[in-house]
Amino acid sequence: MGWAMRARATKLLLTAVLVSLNSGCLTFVTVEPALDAVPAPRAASRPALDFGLHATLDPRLVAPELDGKLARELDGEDLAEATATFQGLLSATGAFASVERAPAGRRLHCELQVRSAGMLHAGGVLFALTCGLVPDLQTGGDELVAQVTAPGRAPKSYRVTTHNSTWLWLPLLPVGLVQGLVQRFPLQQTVDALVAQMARDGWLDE
Amino acid sequence: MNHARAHMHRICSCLLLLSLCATACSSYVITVQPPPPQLPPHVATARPPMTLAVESTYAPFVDGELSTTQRYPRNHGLGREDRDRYRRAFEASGQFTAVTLAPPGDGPHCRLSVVSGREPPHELRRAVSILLTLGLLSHEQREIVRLEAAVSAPGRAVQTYRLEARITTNARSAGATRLHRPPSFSGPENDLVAALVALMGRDGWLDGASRPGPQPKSGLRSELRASQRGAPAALSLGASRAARSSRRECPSQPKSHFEIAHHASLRGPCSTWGGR
Repeated sequence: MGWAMRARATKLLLTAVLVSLNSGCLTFVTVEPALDAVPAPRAASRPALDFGLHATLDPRLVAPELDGKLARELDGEDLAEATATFQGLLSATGAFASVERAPAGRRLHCELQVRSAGMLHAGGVLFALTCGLVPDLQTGGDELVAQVTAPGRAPKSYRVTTHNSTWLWLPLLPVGLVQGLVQRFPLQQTVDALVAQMARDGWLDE
Repeated sequence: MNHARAHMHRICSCLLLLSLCATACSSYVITVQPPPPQLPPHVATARPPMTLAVESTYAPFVDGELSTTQRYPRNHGLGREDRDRYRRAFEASGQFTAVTLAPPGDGPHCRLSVVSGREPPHELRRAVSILLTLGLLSHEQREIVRLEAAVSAPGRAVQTYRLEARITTNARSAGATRLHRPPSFSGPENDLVAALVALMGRDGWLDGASRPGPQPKSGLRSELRASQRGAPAALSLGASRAARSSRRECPSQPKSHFEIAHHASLRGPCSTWGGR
């Protein structure tokens, strides 16, 4: 009886380990220029931010030898989804009282040009044969060019690039969810780096 | 005993296959306003070729309506998909010898302006559905599509049609729950365009030769005639719609001839879209 219980417990433990392996990922991110710490502004003095977004999926960021025709500019509902994501990322920096998609001219405004790419390296047959149990490497990159303006101040451009590589053990999760998990973290670091640069130049002092 | 086990295996395989098949199915219910008339019988040889221009915009779905403040033009990949989808929908109506995406030519031309938005999927429910029920737990997603079609032909004044479709999709597959519809799933567009074509048929746009009408002498008169001829159709649509639901009507009648022309050519005599 004791042996049967132990065998069952071992089986449960193995299953738990397998499931946790299957739903894990490990990401390494490099940000250029190196990330300054975003200063913590006083809640009362945080400015409101308007922003605009142009987003392109461009595989040349991770594989420069590829054809430029593969780049795809986002529009319609894709751009709406990306806009909501960036609104969340900018809000998550905690540097702004509110973040809205709006044209320039009203107050502090940031026009973002984003290029993103992600590429699975192993994938294919090996991934299929092992039902995804072999870890898979995904490399990605984001390039953020921001034109920051405010009434009565000269505009200034900033550029931040991020390269990331992620080891994935995620065969059981839907692809959209995986992409969401993998991309969110590097993108947040990219946006943090941009906001840190803006803070250094005094854009966040109201 | 072995026989029973094999039988169970077979049943399980069938069930798995059935569930996989059902996962890929999505059904929808569509309500078009105003309800389209019957398409008049039409001789196949008299069908005209038509040129089409499509301009498509996404408006986020907020509290059961399309957002009036946020607009995202589909001017790249999704725009191309939409143009092709509507071209195929016009072809599928079977009322034209050919439908091409081109500027106005000798035959009828339709400038189609589409504003649509889809309810975002409930992410948790979607994940549970895919992981635990292989996608069998369906998602109901609402969608609104607003069409404004300006139909013209040489020697005939422009006539504007406005249609609104409310679509409820019972989506099962993972792809169909996203904000935009997969390119292969174009049933609602076919229904909506069939309604538009029925309205065009009622007004004689499907007759092979363009309907003779008085030739305008100046640009302003042309616009004015357009407004006068377009008005009864649009007003009757407005009236039928008002009988079915409470919608915003014209706040006031335009005052000068120029105002009439401008009003009619750009927006039609009645603003039937509450949000625009």
